[in-house]
Amino acid sequence: MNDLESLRGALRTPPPDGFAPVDVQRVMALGGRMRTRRRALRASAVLGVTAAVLISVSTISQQQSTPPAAPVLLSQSHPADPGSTTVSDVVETGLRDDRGQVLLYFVSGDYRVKNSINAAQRYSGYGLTLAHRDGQGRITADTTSNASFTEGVFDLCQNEERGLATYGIYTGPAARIVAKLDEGEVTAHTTTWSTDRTVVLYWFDPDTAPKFARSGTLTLSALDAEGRPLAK
Amino acid sequence: MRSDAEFAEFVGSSAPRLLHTAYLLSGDRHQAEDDVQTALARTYAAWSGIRNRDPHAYTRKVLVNLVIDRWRRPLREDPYEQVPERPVPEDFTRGLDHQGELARLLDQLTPRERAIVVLRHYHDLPEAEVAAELNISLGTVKSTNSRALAKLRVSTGQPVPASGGAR
Repeated sequence: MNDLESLRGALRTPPPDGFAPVDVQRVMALGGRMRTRRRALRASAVLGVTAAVLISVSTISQQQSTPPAAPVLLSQSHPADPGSTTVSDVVETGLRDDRGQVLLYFVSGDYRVKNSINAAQRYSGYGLTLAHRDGQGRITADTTSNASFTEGVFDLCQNEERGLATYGIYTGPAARIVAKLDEGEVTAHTTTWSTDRTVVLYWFDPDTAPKFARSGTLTLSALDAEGRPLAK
Repeated sequence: MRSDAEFAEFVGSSAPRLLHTAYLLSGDRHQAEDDVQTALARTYAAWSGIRNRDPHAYTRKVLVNLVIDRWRRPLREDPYEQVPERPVPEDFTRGLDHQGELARLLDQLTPRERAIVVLRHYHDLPEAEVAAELNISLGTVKSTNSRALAKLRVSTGQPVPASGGAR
C-alpha cells in the first residue's frame, strides 16, 4: 500500500465519536425561511426596477418642462456597491456621530467588502451594510459584511472606525442580546429584519468598545422574553 | 407533502457522508454539524429545482463553497507579541492511525488545497469534476492537488488514476 492509498484510507475512516443526527425539521424550517427571503428579494427587485423606470420617466418629463432644480436628496438607502440591491427597511440605530445618523440595512446581490484586510474581495448573497445619513438626508454606505443566517448563531461585525463598534445579526427568537464581560453585562439594542422577523439585528453603544477590548473575548448570549438563554 | 418526505429521505441517506466531508474540510466536529445543517437548508430552499437532478452533488458543492467562503471572510486581527510555533512537516505515513493526526496534517493545507484533497481522494471525483465543483480550471486542480500532496509528504508510488470511481 503506498502513501496515497494510506491517505485515502485515513480520509475514509469515520471520526471515532460520530456526529449528532441532523434535525430534518429544523433544516426544513431554516430552508423554508431562505426560500421566503429569495422570493421577497425577487419581488423587491421587480419593484425596484419598476420604481427606477417610473422615476426615470418622471425625471425626464420634469427636465423637459421645468428649469434645473436643486440637487435631489436621497430618501432611500443605496447599497455600497452598484451590483447589489437594498433589501427591506433601513434601521435607524439611534446613534449619531460627526457624520450623522448611524444606519444599518441589508443588501443582496454582488457586492464588494470594504475593509482594510480584504478590500478587493467580492461576495454574492446577503450583506449587512453600515451607513450614515447626513444632515441633508443623504445616505452613504460605509462598509458591508457578508451576512450569515445560521439559526442560533451570532454573526458579529466589529468596526472601530465607522461609528458603530460592534453590531451584527442573530437568527432566532431572541428578545434580548447581551454581552458578558468581567465587569458585568451589556445589553445590545435590537430590532428584527422587516423581511424575516426571525432575524434579529443587534448593535452596542460605541462606549462599550473599550469594555470589550478590556475583556479580550466577547461572549454574546441570546435570551428569550423571560431572560432564559436560548438553546442553540 | 411528498417533496418534504423525499427531502427527509435524502437527508437520511446523505447526512453521514456530508458530515464526514464537512469534518474533513473544517477539522471541527461542531462546525461540521453547523455547516451541514446550513448546506442542507440551502438545498431544501432550492429543492423543487434540483430534486430530480443530483441533490447530493448540489449539497456537496454548497457545503464545500460554504467552508471556503468562511475562510475568505474578513478576519478580525488580534496582535500578539509572540509568534506562534509553526507545524513541522513530517512523513505522512507516520501516525495516520489517529484521526487527530490526520486533522493536524490537513490543517497545513489552504482551504482550497484541503477541498481538492477531500473531493479528489475522499469522494474519488475525477479532476474535471473537482474543477467544475469548485469553479476553477483543470490545471489549477492538478497543480493544487500535487502541491497539497507534497505538503502532506504523500508519495503516490504509482500514477494517480486519471479519473475517479463512483461517488
